[in-house]
Amino acid sequence: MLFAAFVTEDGAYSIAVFFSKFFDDRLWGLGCFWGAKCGAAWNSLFLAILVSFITTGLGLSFALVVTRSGFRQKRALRALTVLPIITPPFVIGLALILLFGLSGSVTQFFAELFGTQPTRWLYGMPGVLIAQTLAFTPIAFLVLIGVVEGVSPSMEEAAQTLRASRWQTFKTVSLPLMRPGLANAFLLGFIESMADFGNPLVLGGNFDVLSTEIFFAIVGTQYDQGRAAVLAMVLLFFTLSAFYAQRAWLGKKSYTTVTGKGDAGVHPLMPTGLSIPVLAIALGWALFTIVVYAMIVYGSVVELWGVNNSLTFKHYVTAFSVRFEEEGIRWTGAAWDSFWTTITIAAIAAPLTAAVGLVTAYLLTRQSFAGKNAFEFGTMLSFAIPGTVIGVSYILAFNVPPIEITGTGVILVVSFIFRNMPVGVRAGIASMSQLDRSLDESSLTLGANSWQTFRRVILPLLRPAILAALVYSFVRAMTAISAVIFLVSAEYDMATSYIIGRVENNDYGLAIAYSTTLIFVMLSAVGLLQLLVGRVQIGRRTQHGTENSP
Amino acid sequence: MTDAKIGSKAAPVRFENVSKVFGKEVVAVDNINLHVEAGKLVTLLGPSGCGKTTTLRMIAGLEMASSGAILIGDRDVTKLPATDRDVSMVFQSYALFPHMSVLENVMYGLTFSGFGKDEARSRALDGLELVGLKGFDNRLPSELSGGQQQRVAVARALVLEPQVLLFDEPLSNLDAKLRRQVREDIRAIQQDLGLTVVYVTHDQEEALAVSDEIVVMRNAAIAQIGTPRQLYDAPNDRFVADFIGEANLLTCQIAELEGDTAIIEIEGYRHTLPSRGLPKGPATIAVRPSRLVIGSDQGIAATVAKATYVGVRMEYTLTGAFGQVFAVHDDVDSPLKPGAEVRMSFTDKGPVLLPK
Repeated sequence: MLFAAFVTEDGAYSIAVFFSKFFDDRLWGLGCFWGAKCGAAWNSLFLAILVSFITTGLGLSFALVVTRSGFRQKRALRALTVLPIITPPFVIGLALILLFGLSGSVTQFFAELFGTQPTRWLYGMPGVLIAQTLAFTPIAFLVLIGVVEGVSPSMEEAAQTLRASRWQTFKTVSLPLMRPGLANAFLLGFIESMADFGNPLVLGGNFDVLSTEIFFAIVGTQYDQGRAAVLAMVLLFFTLSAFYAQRAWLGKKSYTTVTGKGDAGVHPLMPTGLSIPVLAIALGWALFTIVVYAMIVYGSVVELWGVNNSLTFKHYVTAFSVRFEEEGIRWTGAAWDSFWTTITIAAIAAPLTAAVGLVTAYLLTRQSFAGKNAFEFGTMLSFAIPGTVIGVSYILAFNVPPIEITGTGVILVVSFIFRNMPVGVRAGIASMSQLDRSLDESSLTLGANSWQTFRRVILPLLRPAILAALVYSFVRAMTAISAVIFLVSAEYDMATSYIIGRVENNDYGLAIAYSTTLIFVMLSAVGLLQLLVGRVQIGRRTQHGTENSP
Repeated sequence: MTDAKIGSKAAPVRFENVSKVFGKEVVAVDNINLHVEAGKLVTLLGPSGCGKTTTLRMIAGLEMASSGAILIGDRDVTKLPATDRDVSMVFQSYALFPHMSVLENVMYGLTFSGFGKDEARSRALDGLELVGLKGFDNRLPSELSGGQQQRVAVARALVLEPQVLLFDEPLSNLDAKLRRQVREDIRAIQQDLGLTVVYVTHDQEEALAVSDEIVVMRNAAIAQIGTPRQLYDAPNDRFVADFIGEANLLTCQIAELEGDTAIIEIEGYRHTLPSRGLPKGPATIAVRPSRLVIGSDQGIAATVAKATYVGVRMEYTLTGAFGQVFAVHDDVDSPLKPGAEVRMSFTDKGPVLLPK
């Protein structure tokens, strides 16, 4: 589907045109080394590498604080992991503008204190970097916490009984065993940064990155689909190279504990020399995150930021006013249209995504067929491909017969399903491989057929996976921007693209009010789904003969 | 195997009134006194949750005692962390470092013990040779079988020449056939090098097979300490009798006492055995299944409830006024039929009075 898009489109151009677009100076220029502007490709690459280094480092600090320190408020830190899931991607950028922008509170404060002129330093590389780091650190944390906890405690205890000090243990055993997690967190940070569209758009200024360039190539005055395709290919090339670099770095070494049975130990604490800086970094950053999020809520009830700081619900009224008339309720707010579209499309896409994901997982774990590995790789691929690329390729692919669905709601639903399916697949595979095959078999021998087995035995046990897939796809459908922005139309406008539109018109108040609403809607959606699907209790016997020291 | 370049600095271990409390209330080890002699293999045996692993981890320094003192050799190590104790441990999961080769694993501890690289390497190679894994040095742990991984773990602990070597259920991840061999290997190495070994297991047969001395633990306390034979032949109480081997518990009357011997009576059948300081009156005896005699002229009336042929012997369940007992009999050629009425008596050294 993807490649078809490029083939049909590139076919219309000569090879020479392709190369001229490909080696465009705007893309690969290295001017920034002598004061001019760099090409978008270098900008993107440089930014992505920086962001992934910083987020991995911060994520590791958080994970270490939670698992290896006597720190008390661990639950609060864990709550951080929910944030990136429910936050529309560009909201952080908006909040940063409120803090550090020209009329931002911090900027104003220092300007008054030192009498300096407020500068626009935020717009460009530094702003995007801060915003992306804020947005993606929790993701790195989420990845790393599993890995850091997964390092078998008896490994570390073994090192200690072998006369290694805490610091030596950490350096020679704990850290190397965390390598796969570090690589994963790095890769995720890299891909997310590459694909991020909202923050560079809001904060980028003159700092061009690939994702925004692609956007302007399509919607701007240039309307150059070929250029968009070329840029998308460059972007894709970067992310896939990162994917392979990760594989190469991990190499063939094994990082899993060899035998899975009977680990009863406890993780040792971090060496003191490490714990103090790590704790300081993690707490500092957590505080910063809290301030930023507080800014979002506060910003939504301020008349006009920096100019008139009186409190008002004006923005909420503009966006979500409701009038009660004889024929019923009239949704007069400006945001209702896009809001309902978003909810509808997300609600349609979520169950479909979960279903497709789980069926795929079932096929991958329980059935074997030719090309299974390729199939599995294919499903993961759509995760590694930035949303911007997907958006462009969908436009190119579905703009022409036989399937002409650009501009309809269908294309949105379809793109969400394929974009978010991998999570359903992963969750499904993880829980299905824990369900022993003998469960299926015992059900079959008891006279149930395959379908009844699936429905009565497998499905109930998969409830946690279903929940994860549902929540994730619903929420992602509501917060997605990078792919969506290309696919929306006047009739089917999504909340996120509507907000971006407001931001471009400098209507920050409304944009932030709308974003805040989205955050709360998604919080309640997550809570509601949790209630609906319920929790499964799978009683497992503790392993025979192993005692667990508490 | 015995041509060892690896020596031993075996030292005794002593626990003085040691307790370990997790959190505020969970008492894992309650006021234990224990002395492990240098060069001996002592097993901590008990059911899950009896505190045996916690005791072992306190020797290793992975848990700190809440009160009391722990001595290794002459040195008080109560407050010393694992790193600074001269102890090494073979973990239940082996805990081999998956990102290091076999040789790197075995060298790991040596590099932190002040040996130069070459010295560490040659010692590690000696260790691998000792456990019979010569030539495996460049493999990764994931490329070895379970038994081989186990031996790497042993080598890694051995090469440090620790004062005390600890084993935490080392055989539980091996299949049944390998267990017998590995436990014999461990015992052989321990005796050849004269190591002090503390060994945790919940398998009584394993404990009987390898130990110089067994410490039976129950509910965070020591139930009985003794050689395998002492524990098997003269258990202190019902718990030990039942946990070490199978035992039939029967109530009886001590009819007469003569010095150290007592005559007991069950349904008119009399038997003479050591009194173990018990007074006249009701008491409990423990009898091993193999020490019940079935089919003699005199004895206690019983009925065969079940008869099972298991190849080397017959297994019977007998019922009677005394309740139910389990007995084994070597005569497989003329087995008793269920429902048969028999007389049951004890061999000379058969039953033992339980003090508690």
